[in-house]
Amino acid sequence: MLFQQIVSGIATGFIYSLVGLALILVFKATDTINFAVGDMMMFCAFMAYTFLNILKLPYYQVFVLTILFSALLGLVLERLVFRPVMKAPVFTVIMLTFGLGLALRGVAGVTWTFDTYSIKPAFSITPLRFWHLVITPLTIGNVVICLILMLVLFLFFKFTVLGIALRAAAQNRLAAILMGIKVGRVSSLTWMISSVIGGVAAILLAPFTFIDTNMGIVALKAFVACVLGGFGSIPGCIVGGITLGVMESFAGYYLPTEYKQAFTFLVLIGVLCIRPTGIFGIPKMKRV
Amino acid sequence: MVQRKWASLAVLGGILVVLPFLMSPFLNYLFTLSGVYIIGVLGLNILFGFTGLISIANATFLGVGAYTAGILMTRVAGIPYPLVILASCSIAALFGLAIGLPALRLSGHYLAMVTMGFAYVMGELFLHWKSLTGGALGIQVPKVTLLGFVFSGDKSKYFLVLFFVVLTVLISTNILKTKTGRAFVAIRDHEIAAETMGINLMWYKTLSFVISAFFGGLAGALYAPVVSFIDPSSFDLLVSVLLLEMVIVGGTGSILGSIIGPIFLTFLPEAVGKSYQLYLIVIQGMVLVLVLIFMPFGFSGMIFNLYDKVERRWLGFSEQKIGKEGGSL
Repeated sequence: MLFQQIVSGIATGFIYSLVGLALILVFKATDTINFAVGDMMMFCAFMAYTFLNILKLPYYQVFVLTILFSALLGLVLERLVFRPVMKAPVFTVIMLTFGLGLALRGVAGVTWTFDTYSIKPAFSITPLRFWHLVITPLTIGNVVICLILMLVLFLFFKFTVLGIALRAAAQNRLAAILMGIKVGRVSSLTWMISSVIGGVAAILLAPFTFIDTNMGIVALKAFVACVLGGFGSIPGCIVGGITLGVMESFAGYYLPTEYKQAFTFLVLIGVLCIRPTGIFGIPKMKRV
Repeated sequence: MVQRKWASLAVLGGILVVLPFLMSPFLNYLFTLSGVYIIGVLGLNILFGFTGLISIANATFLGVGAYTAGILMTRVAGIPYPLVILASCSIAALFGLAIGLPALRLSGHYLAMVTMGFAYVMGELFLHWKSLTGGALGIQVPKVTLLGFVFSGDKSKYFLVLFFVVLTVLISTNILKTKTGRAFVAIRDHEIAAETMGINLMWYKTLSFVISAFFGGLAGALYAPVVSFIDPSSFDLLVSVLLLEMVIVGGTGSILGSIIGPIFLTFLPEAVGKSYQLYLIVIQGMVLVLVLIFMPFGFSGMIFNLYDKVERRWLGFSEQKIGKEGGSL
């Protein structure tokens, strides 16, 4: 039973890490926390629903189309909303992402109504038994897709010229500009990548949480995951996501179900009060 | 100059007193509701606009105040209303203290997240502590009785709220004129410089949170009898964001803004009209985005700029009313 809880926790945790990655990427590149990341995901999930259930496309096409759509969404939002306030204070940008989230939720509600929809999962959900453990192929598939995506991202950032440019812009904006990196374009690209990660996470998550306009709430958990691992650290975000998934899985088992959600945020408050830098974070010095 | 100021205040007072007798009960209700939000937004503006600390938990302070009021008024028979208000404010202020203390170590993004976490936990508490809060069904709040007078009509509620709005506006403008207010602004403008100048960050940041929560509690204690029904969804994350939107649309760091913003956003749903309620959330979001991009000082900033231009053209001189960081009034 204990082992079962851990495994299902890890599976959920991977999705949290994925959403967390979408957050961290934008944070590292543009120093913005995108509180609308959940709502962008929700939007992509609705698109996936439209492709799958209304247009009746096969799954791989849905996957590709949703990814394309999410890239477009990231690009458009960056150009229209975030580029103009690139130099604005932190609070302005935070509030802007909140406003954007509201607007996206509204547009989705108007387009697809505020009802709850479900989509057919990509993999079968007949449980497989390994010794005492019960796992569905869906869970395995999700974890594998998460791992592949993380690997691709890792390789992209480590070895491609674009990836290195992205990292350079994140590390020192001015130096990057002086080195001839087009920082504006880098920012667009980061938003696109982040949005794509969100889109993939949305497709993976949709069979579990169903699709409605409040689906973005999952992003709150991704924040907790990032804080747990140390905000701004990519390995931290993955470890934090998995830790949170496992903790939640235990909390769901031992605590009354009503308080499962609250538990996540108590963890957040606890971590922020005791060790704000999280597991992998390095305390940030402020220069006067 | 002084005479002109008193004259304009008298005119304003006259308008505010006569206004409810000229309007329909529904409009009165909307103005009363705006008044409740004005009190909450003033508190939030002191925290966000003047001290520079973000809080996504201010609707929760409202909620704490409203639930305290609701529970006291339904459970304790014959409790005097001033006592209810006092209890609501103090309990909300205690919550402000509880969230303010850990918030000292955090700033910017982290503060936004910790307050959001707090708001979420409290929301769950409102929803699931059924024996105390009534869960999703909420609480029916009875009418306020004060010295035998029952505040039942729209006009009496209007004057009840008006009294507290005037009181809060006076208190906030006065706080901001004192050493405390200047310390807040100094912390907002440059925290490290402020600390070097001998401002006790811990004291003033916590104080800012406590004042903010205190006003939130007051707003909540008024919200309960004005709307006469409270449930968890009246104080959720969305409302917190709306409160912040009121601050920003009105003008961050401006008392006048804290009056314009709530009125604007309380009337917005009515202006949008019944048949377009679906689009309301889109409009609210778009208003926030557009104001942030094109009008960073909100409506009050725009009004001050306009006033400045007019003054310069007509009188040939000008007194700079609003600085780069937003003026003090």
